[in-house]
Amino acid sequence: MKSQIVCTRPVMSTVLAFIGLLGVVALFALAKGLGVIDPTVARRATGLLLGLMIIVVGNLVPKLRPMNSPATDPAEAGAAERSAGWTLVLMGITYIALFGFAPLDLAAHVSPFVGLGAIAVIALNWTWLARGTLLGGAGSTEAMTELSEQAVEKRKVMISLLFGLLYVLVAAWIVFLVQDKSRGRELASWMILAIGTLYAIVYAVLESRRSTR
Amino acid sequence: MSAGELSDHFDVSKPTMSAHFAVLREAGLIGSEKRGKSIVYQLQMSVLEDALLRFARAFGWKLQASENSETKRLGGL
Repeated sequence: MKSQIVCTRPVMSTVLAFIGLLGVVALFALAKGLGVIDPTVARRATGLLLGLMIIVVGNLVPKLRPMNSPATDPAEAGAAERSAGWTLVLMGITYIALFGFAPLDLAAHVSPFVGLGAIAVIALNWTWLARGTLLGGAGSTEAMTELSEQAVEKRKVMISLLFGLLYVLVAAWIVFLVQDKSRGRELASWMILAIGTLYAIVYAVLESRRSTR
Repeated sequence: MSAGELSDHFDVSKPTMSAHFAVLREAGLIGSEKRGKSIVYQLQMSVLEDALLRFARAFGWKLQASENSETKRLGGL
């Protein structure tokens, strides 16, 4: 029943597109490892596919509303999500431009900083939103919002996609910068753990604030 | 906007509005949340849909366009 509620066509196609692109990235990595394709071609293709993945996920951020919480003001949260979606889509376009047209070394060295910059902007924006809610912003004076089951399910889908994307990005950045796959995976895992914990703390605080009202 | 505020902008009955909201919600174009005693509706567009809307607006497309043409068409009859 839940899947019928949340799996509208755009959600389903985004999840399938994300998994498909992830599969193609894995195929390129395998082909590179087997020596079937040139490492330069594999790197360029990986960068282009990463750009597409970022656009696919970013496009749906405002629709699936990852910051939708009973304690946040819907209008403020909506604005933060729209801005995050646009930032991710522009980041994806930049990746495609870099890996499509710039020299590969330049693209590999510049892209992690473009990505970190974009993620920092989104993180700051969302932290500001959480801070406003905790300190009693616009939402505190109004009646509390009750999230529908559909909204909660959509939020879960988007959070999973964002964590998946972040893991792939961090692993790729480390490989692009230091050419060390094992260190890349290790750092990506730690970063996901840290971000996941931070996200859980923010939500626990928001939920406790909701219950005390 | 709440359901009541939205209804004031259209010359249709509230049950008809509710049916339209249900279709839009099913299509994922709007989201609804219960806020106190009222239901608040919000437009939920993907970045691509948002970009297309901005693009269309930049070229002079307005929501009233179809309404005006409809009025003109009816006036001409």
